[in-house]
Amino acid sequence: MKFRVNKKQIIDYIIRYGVLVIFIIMVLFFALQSQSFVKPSNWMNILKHSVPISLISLGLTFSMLVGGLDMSIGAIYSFSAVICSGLIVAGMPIILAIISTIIVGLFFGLFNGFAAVILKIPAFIATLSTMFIIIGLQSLYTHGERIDINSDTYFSFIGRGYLGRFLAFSVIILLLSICFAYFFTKNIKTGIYIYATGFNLNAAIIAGISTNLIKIIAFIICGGFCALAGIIQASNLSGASASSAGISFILNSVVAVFIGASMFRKGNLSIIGTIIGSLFVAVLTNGLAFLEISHLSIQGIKGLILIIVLILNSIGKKKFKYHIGQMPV
Amino acid sequence: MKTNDNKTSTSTNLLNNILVEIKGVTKKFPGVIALKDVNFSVKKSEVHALIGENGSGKSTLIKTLTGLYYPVDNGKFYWEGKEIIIKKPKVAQDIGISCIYQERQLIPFFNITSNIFLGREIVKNHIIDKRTMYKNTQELLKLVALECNPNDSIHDLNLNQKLKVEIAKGLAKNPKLLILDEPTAILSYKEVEDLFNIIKELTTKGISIIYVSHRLDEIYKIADRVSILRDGKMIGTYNIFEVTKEQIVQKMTGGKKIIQKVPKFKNKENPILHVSNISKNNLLKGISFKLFEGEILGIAGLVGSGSEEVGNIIFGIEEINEDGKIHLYNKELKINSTSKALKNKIALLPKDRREDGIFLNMSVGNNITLANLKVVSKGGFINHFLERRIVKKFIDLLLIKTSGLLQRVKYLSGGNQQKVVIAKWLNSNAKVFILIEPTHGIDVGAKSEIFNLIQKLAIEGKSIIIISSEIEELVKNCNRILVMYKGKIVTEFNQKDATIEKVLLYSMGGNED
Amino acid sequence: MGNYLEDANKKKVIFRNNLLFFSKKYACLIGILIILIIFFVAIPGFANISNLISILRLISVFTILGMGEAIVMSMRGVDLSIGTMAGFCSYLCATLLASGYSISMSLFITLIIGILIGFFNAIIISWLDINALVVTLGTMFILTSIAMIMSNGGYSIYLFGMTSAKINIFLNSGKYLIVGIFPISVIVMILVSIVSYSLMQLTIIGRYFYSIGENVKAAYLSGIKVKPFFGLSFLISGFFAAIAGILLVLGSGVGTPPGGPGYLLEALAIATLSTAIFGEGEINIKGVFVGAIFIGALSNALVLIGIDPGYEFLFKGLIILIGMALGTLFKKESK
Repeated sequence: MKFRVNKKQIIDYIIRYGVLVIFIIMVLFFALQSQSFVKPSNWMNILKHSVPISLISLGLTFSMLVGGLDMSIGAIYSFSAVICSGLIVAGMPIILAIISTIIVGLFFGLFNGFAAVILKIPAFIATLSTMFIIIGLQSLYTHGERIDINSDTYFSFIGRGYLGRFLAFSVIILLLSICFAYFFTKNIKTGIYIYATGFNLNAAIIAGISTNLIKIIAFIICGGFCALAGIIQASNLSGASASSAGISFILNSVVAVFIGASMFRKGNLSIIGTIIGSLFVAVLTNGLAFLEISHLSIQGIKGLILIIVLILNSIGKKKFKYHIGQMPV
Repeated sequence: MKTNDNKTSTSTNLLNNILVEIKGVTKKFPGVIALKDVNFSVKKSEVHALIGENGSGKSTLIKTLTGLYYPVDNGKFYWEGKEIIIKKPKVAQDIGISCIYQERQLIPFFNITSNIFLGREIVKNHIIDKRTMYKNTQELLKLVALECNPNDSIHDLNLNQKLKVEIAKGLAKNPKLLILDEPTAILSYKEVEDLFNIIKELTTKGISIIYVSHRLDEIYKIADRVSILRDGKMIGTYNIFEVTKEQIVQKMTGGKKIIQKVPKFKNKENPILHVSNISKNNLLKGISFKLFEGEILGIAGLVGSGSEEVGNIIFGIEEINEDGKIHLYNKELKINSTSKALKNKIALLPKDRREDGIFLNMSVGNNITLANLKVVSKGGFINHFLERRIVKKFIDLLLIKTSGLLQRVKYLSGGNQQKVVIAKWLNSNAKVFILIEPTHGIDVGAKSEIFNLIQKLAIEGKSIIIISSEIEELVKNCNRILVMYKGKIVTEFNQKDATIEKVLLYSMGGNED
Repeated sequence: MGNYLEDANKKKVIFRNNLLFFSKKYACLIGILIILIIFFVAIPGFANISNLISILRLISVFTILGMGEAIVMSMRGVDLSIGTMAGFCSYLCATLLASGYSISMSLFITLIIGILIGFFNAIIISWLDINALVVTLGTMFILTSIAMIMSNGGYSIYLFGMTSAKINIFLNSGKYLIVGIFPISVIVMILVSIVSYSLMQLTIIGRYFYSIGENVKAAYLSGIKVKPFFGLSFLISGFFAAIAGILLVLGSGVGTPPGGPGYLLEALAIATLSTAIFGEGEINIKGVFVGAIFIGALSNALVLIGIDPGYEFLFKGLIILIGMALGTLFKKESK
């Protein structure tokens, strides 16, 4: 009996630390392949590029924690970039434009939460329809044209500015967001309740937690992070166009979240894990791009990694004979 | 000697050291009176056992104390001499009543502290005050003798430790009355000893315990007094050493005489099923028995006896242990799935038929034929005419009230839904039927219908195992009864030797010390 | 006297119940019909026979995908790779034809590959009990990559430029009209719909599918082997995707390696819509078909009106939302 338990523990450890090991190996591999990969400016480059994805993955973590995979994250992100650019071009003061955009993101999160929790539509379908709606709104707003922002304004500092020589401002925003997310889920009641609801819904209900409200809040937070990512990207590119950031977009975030999950016990979602996973994805993307592998192939590699990580996460989990990979209710 | 509390007044309450008292409480539900004019009191620092069969009103009594059942139809509640009204769970908690149920309510990847304070976190300026919570948890853990760090993750604890955390959680609200509902159902001998030590500690600190259990040996070890409920009435409260186990059982059953309805069973030659050496962790220890053709075999077992697990293992819902073997007519079976069990003509009617046996959004007809679609189909295609004929046959046979075989089952009444599930299994041409708590949730009229059906099946040569905690029904309707207690078969009764009292005594561990 | 009043009241109640039942069942259908009639009447060019046929041709590919998706979703699964599988199979078919394989061989291999991809999904999802959503998301991108590699970086294969006789026969068959007006893709779509309907409503497999979707634990306790059946739905989805892929290359004459989700969104839209259309609250095949016609008509109408393409997405999203909300409402209704 005892030996069997140890074997499971060993496998658990292998998976958890294995991901870190693979991460290091991957970095070494890329370093060997290409000189420019190792330059410190490339590191900050990678970090900078990872900011939008990391923020979105952070948001996705919240929605997945309460049991729903938010399919609209790409759309909210894209729309936020568009709206923010549009508002600035229309003359709104930058601060106001940013705040309005965040509010829009929060609103879409609320919309998702309402559909998934109150109307009880399965989260994946509810957020899918939101995605459609947002893509539609986006197209109507931009009429297919790109919105350009004057790159001389303060706004560009957000995405492209540096503090000192190396520290990108957007990376600072990311760090602040991570700190906020971590602090929120460990030290504020509502944040703790989000985890509790996700880990054991019944226990949370019995403890008197209003789980429906908590779930909606999780969706709202997700929307907010996606909006933030969109704002940063708009600043980075000095404008935005209605890209069809649909389903293809969520691959990066989903991979990030699941890689993160595999680093902790029994494959559970966590904020820190997601961030590490996002870094992993960013490094991977950057490195593969250096090797001049095409974009679509990179996506394929990520897809493969996703499936492998999923399989690893599922090892050792207790499964009833009627558990078959269905979508959660 | 009975302690008669009928005329106790406030001052006498305090004199006799009574913590909580309920007087003349009656609670009715549609169709049944759960509690009839019940008087019950618990002294300070005592361990008070509460015993009663299914349907005796035990859980109703507890729920009125914890505020889950409000209002009562009659009666008053007193706490330390003063009258109180327990409107909802929060009121009960604030007064000082806490209850630990059987369902584990812990969050796996949180630590002990977070679990204990879930929903009631201590905050300073909206931020969790971890230091205070840590200290409080430390003290609570000392109370329950759990040598763990408050920051340890629940995930790393074993079952016994988890139980202690649950108790700590219950103690976190500083209760004066702690109710334990079947706490030892899955504990090992050593863990039960551990629990008893905690209970004794708690009573020295002035906390009273209501200990709901059916395990006589444990009750005699830990309780000071015992109260016995039967059919919603409080039969009496006794000091534990003034009453014997047999007397307790006798009071639980009221000395009912049963007219056995089952015809005598003769054919003891063909064991259709031979089960040997089935074990499962703490739950089952080396279960072996035979089942004969045309026999109605009862397995009597109360909560935690492991009786249900036996059925689940034979039907393939749970894994069978390596040494365990199931033989059908001398052929060894490797049952690792329900479809294999069904192929070998073994059928199981689950306990919670509404959740696990029925498809609410599907039609009555579809539900009934589901376990045996081969018969109504040809080459994979379902013959709807044939299906209709067979379904009609069962609707008539079981008198299922429905507007037609196309009606969705969710529109049927509870009892009729049960009948649909039974029809499904009758239609499955199985030869061995395992029924788990077959009359659970069924009204009286339908109960006898079901047993008539069971007898008909037996006459046709089918074999039936009834796994139940309704002792009376087993004694009435079975040819043979195996009694299980704490994972073992403790004795076997033939139909002529079985009486309710004897069977109940053994299923409560009456023959153990 | 009293009896007469009682009977009259009873009849009123029965009539009202029937009316409710009837309206629940056909409300969406009637709503859709009304919208279609508005299109007929108000939009110039819509009521044209050739336009109607082109609607049918437009929807033929994603209707087949919708059927496959509906079968998977009937058991609370989902297949996000279905659109990409179709694109992949269309590219594969074009490659095979261009490489000189016979028509029957090319079709056969394409169908087999479709089933194999479905099998891959099935194993990981139902055998290892991993959430179907994320697995098929991964499969989708793996397929796009493989197609990338196969196509040397994304080059399409233009069949109509080739001189091979086989290929010409193949392409021409796409233009054949059955019964005078229906192109072959429409006929295939109808056939697949009939097969799907029969499978779900008339066979044991379909019965098992519905019961697994309704209550998987009860299905297991009824002796149904839930894992293999759940996996089977992904095989079917792969098979249907292959058929759709063949129709794709047949219709356009070009084999394009898939770059993304393809017709997935439409397939999901009509599969989820089906829960509302006949008031069933469950996925059902006839609902998928009606939904497909509705979505096709809607797209067509919007194009004819010349409205901003953004509206199409907007409407689709709102329709899915309303459809699902109604579907959930219908399902929850009890006495």
